[in-house]
Amino acid sequence: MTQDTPAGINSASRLRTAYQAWHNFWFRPADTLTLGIMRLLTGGMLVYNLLVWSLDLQAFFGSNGLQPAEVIKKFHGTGRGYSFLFYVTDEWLATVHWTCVAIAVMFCLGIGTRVTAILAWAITISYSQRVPVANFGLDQILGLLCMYLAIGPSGDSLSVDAWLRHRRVPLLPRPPKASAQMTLRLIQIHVCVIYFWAGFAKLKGDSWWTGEAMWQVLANQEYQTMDLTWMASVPWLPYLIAHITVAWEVFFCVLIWVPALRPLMLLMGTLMHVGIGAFMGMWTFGLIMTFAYFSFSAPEKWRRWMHRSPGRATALENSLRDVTTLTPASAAGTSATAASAAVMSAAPASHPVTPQPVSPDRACEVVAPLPTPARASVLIVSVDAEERHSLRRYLRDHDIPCRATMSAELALTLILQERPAIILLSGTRLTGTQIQQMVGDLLDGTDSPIIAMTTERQQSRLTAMKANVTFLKYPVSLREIRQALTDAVFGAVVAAPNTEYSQTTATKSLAVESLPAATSASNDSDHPTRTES
Amino acid sequence: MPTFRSRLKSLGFVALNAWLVFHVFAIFIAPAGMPPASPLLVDASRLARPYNDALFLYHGYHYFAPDPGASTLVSWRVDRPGALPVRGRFPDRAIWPRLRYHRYFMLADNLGGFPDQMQANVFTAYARYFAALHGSSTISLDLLRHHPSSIIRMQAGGQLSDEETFETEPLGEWDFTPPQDAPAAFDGLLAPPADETSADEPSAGQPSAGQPATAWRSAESPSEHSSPVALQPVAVEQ
Repeated sequence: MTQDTPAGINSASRLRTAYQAWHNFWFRPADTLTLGIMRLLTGGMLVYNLLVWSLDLQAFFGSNGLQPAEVIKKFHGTGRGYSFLFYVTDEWLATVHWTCVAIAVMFCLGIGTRVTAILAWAITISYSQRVPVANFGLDQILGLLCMYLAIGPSGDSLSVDAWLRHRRVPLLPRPPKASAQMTLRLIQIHVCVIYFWAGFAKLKGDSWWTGEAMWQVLANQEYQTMDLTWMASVPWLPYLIAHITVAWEVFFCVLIWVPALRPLMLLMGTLMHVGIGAFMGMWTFGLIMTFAYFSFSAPEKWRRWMHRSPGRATALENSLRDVTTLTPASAAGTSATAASAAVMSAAPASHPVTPQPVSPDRACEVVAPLPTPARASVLIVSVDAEERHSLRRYLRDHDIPCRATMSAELALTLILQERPAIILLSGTRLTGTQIQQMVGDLLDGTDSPIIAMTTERQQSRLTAMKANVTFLKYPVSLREIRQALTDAVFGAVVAAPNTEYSQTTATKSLAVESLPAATSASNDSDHPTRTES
Repeated sequence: MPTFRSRLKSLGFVALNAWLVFHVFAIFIAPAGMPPASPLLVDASRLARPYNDALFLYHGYHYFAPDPGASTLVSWRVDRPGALPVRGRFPDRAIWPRLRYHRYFMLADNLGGFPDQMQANVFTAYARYFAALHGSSTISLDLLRHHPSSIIRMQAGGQLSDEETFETEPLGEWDFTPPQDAPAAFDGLLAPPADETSADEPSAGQPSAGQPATAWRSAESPSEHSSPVALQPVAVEQ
C-alpha cells in the first residue's frame, strides 16, 4: 500500500540503496591475492611459534610440566577451552607436535589449503587453550587470523595449490571472489574492534591520562630490549606518545574508513608495532598485528610490486589511456599500437599473411601515426588491469590483433570505430548484475559474437542472453580462450557459406586467416588445428 | 516459480548475512563484558559467550590497560642435601629466542588474572617441575613484583633495578617426598596434584610451610634476585 505513495517509494528506494551498499561492502568480489599474502605471513608466524614451542614441549605440555592438563581442564570447565593436546600422552607429544609443524608448513605454502587452513586454525586454538597462562597478544591475533584464513579462499593465490593448477593449464589470474571480500571485511572489522577496546581499556586507567603509562611500558625492565631511561630527561616525549597512542587506538575504527587517512592510520600503526618489537622485544606480536593490516591494502599494488615491472605498468597505463581516450581522429591512425600496426598492415584479407612477431613491451609503446586505420580483430573488455594485460600480451604474442578496454561504453566506441570480429568479455570483478548490464549494452551495439568468461553464478544471470554469447567458465586457460576465439570465428564463417564477404565478414575473415597463420608460426603444439584439417 | 535449489540458495544467503551480523556483534561485545562493566553489558556479552568460547574469541584486548603496572616474576630455591642450593627465576633474560622468553614471562605475569584456586594449583605445578628438574624433593617459591620506576625517581638518579623496586611474596615450600605407603604410580619426586589431597594436613604436593602471604612484604634479600640466573641448574655458593 505504502509502495504507491511518494514516501513509500522513497523508503523502498532507500532500502534498496541500503541493501546494495551492504551487499557491496560484504560481497563485492575481491582479489584473493591479499589473502594469499596474509596466509604466507600468518602461516610463517604459526610455524615459528610451533618451532619455539618445540624447545619446551614437555615443560609446557607434558603431564608433569608447568601447565598440568587436569588443572587447565578444570579452569576451562565443561564445554569450553577444547584442545586436542589434552588427549595426547607424553610419549606421543613429540610426534603430534611435529605433525602439527608439518601441517603449519603446508598451510603456509598453500598445500591442500582448504584442509590445512582449518587444521592450522585447530592447531592454533589447541596450543593456546592448552597453556592459557603462557598466552599473550600473539596467540589471540594468530587465532583469529587463522580462523578467517580458513573461512576465506586463502589458497587461491601465492600457493602451491595455485601453482599446480597453473602448471596443468596456464591460468589467468584467479577471478575475484565474494568470499575473499567477506573475509577481508571480517578481518578489517576485527582489527577495528581490537583497537577500539584496547583504546577504551586504557581510558579506564589513570596512568594513560597522566601520560606516565608509556613511560612505565618503555621503562619496564622485563620487557625492554634497550635502555630508554634517557626519556626521563625529556618527559614530554613519553607523555606525548601515550596520548597519541590512546587517541589513535580509540579513533582507528572511524578514521581507517576515510580513504585519505587510511595510509596515515596504517603508517602510525606500523610504527607503533615496530616500536613494540624493537623496544619491548615483542616482535611476534608487533608483526602479527601488522600482518592484519594487509586486509586494508590494495592488491593491485602488490601485484605490480610482485611483477617487478613498474615501468611496464606505467607503459600499460599509458597504452590503456591511449586506447580509452580514442577519438575518431586518433582512430584514423594516430594512436594505434605497434602490434596492431604490424598485423593490420597485412595484405588483403583473402590472402594469408605472415605477421611480424611483436614483443609485449613494444605492444605497449605508443608509436608514430600509421598510414592506415588500425583495426583489432578481438576486443578485450575487462575491468581488471592485470587480466587485460595478460590477455593482450598473450593474443599479441600469437599475432592476433586486439584492443583492450575496461568498460562497456568505451568498448562500444571501439566497436563503432574498429568493428572487431569478436568481443572477449571478462566477468572478473563484476557482480552478476553488472555483467548482465554489460553484455546487454554490448549486444545492443554489435552483432559480433561475444565470448564471456564467467563464473557459474555470473553465467546463471546471463541465461536469457545466450543467443550470441559463448561462455567460458572460470578458471579458464589462455589456450582455451584462443580455442574459443577460433571456434567463434569459424562458426561465423561456416554459418554463411558460398557468399561474398561483407565488410564485417571480411574483418572476421582477417581473423580467420590470422589465427592459423599465427598459431602455425608459434611453437605451441597444442594450438587449434581446424584450418589445417 | 522458484526451484527448490534457488530457494535453498536464498535461504543460505540470508543465513550468511545473519551470521555476519551476529559475528560482528559477538566479537564487539566480548571485551565489553569484562569488568568493570554494567549488568547490561555483562548480560549482552553472555549472549555471545558460547560462540566466542568455541571460536577462541573471548579476549579483552586490554593491552597494558588499564595501567601497565608492575611486572611479576617467580623465583625458586632448591635445597639439596649435601649439595649447594640452586636458585633460579623466570623470566630470565638469558632465555632465547625472545618468544620463548615471553612464554616464561607470561607464566609469571599472567597468573594474577586467573582464579585463586587455579593459581595455587599452577604454583604447585611450577614447584613440582623445577624440583624435578633439579633432582630435589623440596623447593620454595617466591613471587617477585618489579614496580616501574617513576620519571621523577629516575631524574633523581634512580635505577630500574634498584632493590626498593622489587617486592617479594613467599609462596611457600613444597615437599614432594613420597609417603612410605605411596602407590607406585607416584614414583620419584612426583606427587598427586594438590587438589586431590586433604587441605587440612600438609602432605606431598602441598605447601608444607610458609602459606601464601596475604600482604606484600619487602624483599628479604633482593640482591639475590637482582642478577639474572640461568634457567638451567646453577649452583650458587652460600
